[in-house]
Parts: sequence; structure tokens; C-alpha cells
Amino acid sequence: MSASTALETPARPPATPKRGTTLERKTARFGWVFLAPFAVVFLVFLVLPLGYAFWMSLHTNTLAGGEQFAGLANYTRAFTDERFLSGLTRVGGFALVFVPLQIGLALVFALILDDVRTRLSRFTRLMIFAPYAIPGVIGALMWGFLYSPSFGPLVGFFDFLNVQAPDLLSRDSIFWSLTNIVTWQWTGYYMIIIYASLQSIDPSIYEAARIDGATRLQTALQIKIPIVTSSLVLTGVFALIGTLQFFTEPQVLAPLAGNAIDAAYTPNLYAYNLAFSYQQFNYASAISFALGLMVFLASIIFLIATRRKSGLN
Amino acid sequence: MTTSPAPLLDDAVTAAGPRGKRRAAKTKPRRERSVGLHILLAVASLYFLLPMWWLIVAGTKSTQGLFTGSGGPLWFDSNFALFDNLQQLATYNNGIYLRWLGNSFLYAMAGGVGATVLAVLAGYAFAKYRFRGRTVSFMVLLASVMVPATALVIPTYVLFNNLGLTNTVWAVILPSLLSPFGVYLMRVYVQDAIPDELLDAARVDGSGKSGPSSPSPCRSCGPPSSRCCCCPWSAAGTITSCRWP
Repeated sequence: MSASTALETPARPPATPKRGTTLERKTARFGWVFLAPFAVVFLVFLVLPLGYAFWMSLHTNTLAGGEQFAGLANYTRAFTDERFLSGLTRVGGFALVFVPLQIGLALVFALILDDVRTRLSRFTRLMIFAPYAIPGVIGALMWGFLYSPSFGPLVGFFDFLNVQAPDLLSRDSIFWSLTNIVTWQWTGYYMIIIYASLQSIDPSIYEAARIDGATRLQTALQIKIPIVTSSLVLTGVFALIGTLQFFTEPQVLAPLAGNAIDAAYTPNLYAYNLAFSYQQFNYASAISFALGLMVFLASIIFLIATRRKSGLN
Repeated sequence: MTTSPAPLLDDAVTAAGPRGKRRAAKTKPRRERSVGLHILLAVASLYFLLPMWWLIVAGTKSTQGLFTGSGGPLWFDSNFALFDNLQQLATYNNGIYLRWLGNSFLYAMAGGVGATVLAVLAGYAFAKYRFRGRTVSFMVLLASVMVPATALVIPTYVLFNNLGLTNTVWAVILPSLLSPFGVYLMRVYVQDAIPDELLDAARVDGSGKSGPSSPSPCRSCGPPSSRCCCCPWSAAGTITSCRWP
């Protein structure tokens, strides 16, 4: 991304130490002034509620005993809870499918759109991004209707082929139905981020490649992809975090899918149902934090595995 | 943005005379490859457009037309019921839908603008000022993205209850001012787009101890700010649809 500055910056005099002169230190402190508004909102609406949620997760609240400090009992219960663990396995499976699929498709589309510059490509770019502008709930609802045998076009399509239409909301196929919805919704967002990185590449690199005789495909594979690797890693982390917290689509499709989606389909959904259907706020907080811990671990593992490529070390 | 050198080559070649025609013919295969890519793009457009098209078509059908429409699910029915449906929507429960629409618009605007302002300031601070605790703060910021929002809903409700702000617009706008993604995007952009030399020059020209805060960095921040604004917009739209109220 900073290839152009790397090529053009002349040799600078040796830099002064990080927090050297008084003026520099005073100027640097001014950074907090800029950060302050965001920091206030962050503390009040994230750190504070999080602290309270953590405090709640360390207590139990029963009819007989009232509110009691229970230490890590809720967490022990969470990590031995079969519904939580199966939900974790399920979102792990989702992550293994969603993340490569979405990032791969986003990369392919970004490369194509960077290369082809016609009206069709501009229209396609808008179309691919448009589903992100649609709220997740609406998108899931629309696809729920499209999948339904009464309203959707799929039954007609399969009748045309004289084949029995599969029930896309049944237990066997709900995984791929959800995959489809999420891919439709999020590929555009990741594609725009990768596309923006591609746009900021210095075009003289392409000229040099062309002089060396590289074909368009070679340019794409061996020049463009390595340059945007840091964007790929970052969109990968965001996709991973989002997938492990999978909530909206199962929540919306649950009434339509009958018994294919149960109350503990994903850990996030489980926490939500515990809090709002079963009124177990303390245990729900513990499940949320346990999930957060798993997300944190997964992200660390992902970043360590890609640390050479992302330039983050 | 990519100035293709191919036209230059073609010009040079066709100027070469009769042989130039054969050379010009060699550039044709490049166009043919584009046909395959264009087909791929067209198929992708159709796939991403499909649900929205279905929505538009379904909006023009009456309830019965949804089930037994003459054109099938993806084409219009013989009975064009769009205006009936819109009228039903606008008069439902004494026009409450228009109120909801106004609310959502207000949340999106206020939340979007507010979140963008905060994110731009914070991203600029992270990128250009080396204050103590910068790295730690940034790590905390990234870590906050990993917390599932379901953990935050109940404590936030309790907080607003204690402040007496439940059932007001602030209960939705204030939490939506938080946009860690926005801060991250702005930091990355500012780091690359605003060269330190520009700030040093402004400082030399006497813009005070705080360093230049406007107008040149602000102007450079324009494009990503608008992209930043898009994210809170859709975030605000989603938030109002289910979780915070």
C-alpha cells in the first residue's frame, strides 16, 4: 500500500529518538485530545457495560439463594455444556467454509474489476456491494422467502428440470443455505476493501511488468496479490471474528426452518436465548465471555499463522 | 487510474505501415479474453441482484398473487398492486410506518455523522501522533471488536435505565457512535495518505503547538471519511432494526 512512498522518499537525516525534544513530547500528548471524544464513548459504552457483564457472569441468581458470588462456576458450566460446545464446533465449521470462500471470491472479483474498466464492471461493482447496504435481517428474510417452496422461484426451477426440489431449510441443507446468504451479504464489503488497496498501487509497477512480458493473469497472481496481502489478512481476521459470532441469519431463519435451527445453533444465539427466553442473565454473560475468549484465541492463532504475510509483526 | 501503455504501442505499430495491420490484429485475443470475464461479471451481477429483484416484484403483487401469480415468482403478476400495498403500508396503524422511517433516518444520520467524526479524529490521532500508550490503546480497540455484542445489550440497558434515557433517541444514537472499524480504516488511510512532510511543513509555517489540524489533513481525509460514513450508516440501519430497542 505504501509502495509509492517507498520508491520516492529520499534518504532522511537520522531520526530523533521517539520521544525526544520537549516540543515533540508536548505535540505527541496532543494526540490524546484528538482521541478523547472517541475514548469517552468507548469507555462508557463498551468498557463499562463489559465490566458489568463480567461481574454478572461471576454471580449466580436463583430463586432460593438470591444473588450469590460463584467465582468461575458459570464458566466451568459453560465449558462442559454440551450445547455450547456443539455450537462452537458448528461455528468453527462455518468459519472454515465462510472465510476462504468470502475472501477468495472478494479477491477474485476485486482483481477482475481492477482489470476490466467498462460500464458493466462499474455496474457489477455496485451490485456486489449493494447487499452490504441491506441490513442483515432484511437480507436473511429475503433469502428465507426465496428458499420457501410457496413463494420462491426454486420449486419452479426444479420442476422445469423434472427433479424433486430439495428442501433448502431442512436440517441437512441449512448449512449451505446459510453459507449462501452470508456470502451474498458480505462478499461485497470485503471486495471493496481489497479493491481500494488495489487502486492505491503505483501503476508504474504494471508498466514494468508489461515490459518484462507478464500476461494479465501473471500480473494479477504474482504482483497484485502479494501487494494486497496485508488487506487480505485483515479482512480475513474480520471475517473470522464475524463468523464465530454468527447470529443474525440463524435468528431470522429459525421460525422458517422449523427444527433445523435450535436455540443453541450458535453460541451467540445460545447466549441470546438464555438471556431473553430463559432469563438466565448470569449464565448468558458467562457464555458470551467464553465465546469472546474463543474468538480471541482463534484470532491470535490466525494472526500468528499469517504474521509473515501481513507485515504486522 | 492505470494508464495502459497498450494504446501507445498500438499507435507506434500502426504507424509502421502494412505490417502494422498484422500487428494490430495480434491485440485482438486480449479483447476476447475480456468476453469471458464480462460473462462472469454479468452472472455475478445477476446473482447479487436476484433477491432485490424478487423484492421489487413481490412488492407489486397482492397476497394472492404471491402464491398463484401468473408470471411466476420472478416476474410481475397481471394484477399490479404496488400502489395498494403502499397505501396499506402508509395507513397501517395511523401511519406509524412513516414515523419509524423518520426515526431510522434520524438514527442513521446522527449516528453516521457522529461516528465518522469520532473515528476520523481518533484514527488521525493514532496515525500521526506518537503519544504514550498508543500501541496499548490500539490493541484494546482491536480486541473490543472480538466481544460479541449480545454481552453488551443487557448492561447497556441497565446503564440507560439508571440514566433515565431508555425510550429516547439517545438510547440508540449514543451506542452507535462507537465504530472501531472506522477508527482502524482511518488510521490505515491517514498513515499512507498524509505524508509527515506535509505536517512538518505546516508546522514550520506556524500552525501552533498542536500541529496542523485543518484544512489540509481534513481535505485529504475526505474520501475515506465518506466510506467511513457508509459503514456507520448501514450499521445504524441494522441496529435500529432489531437489537438496541
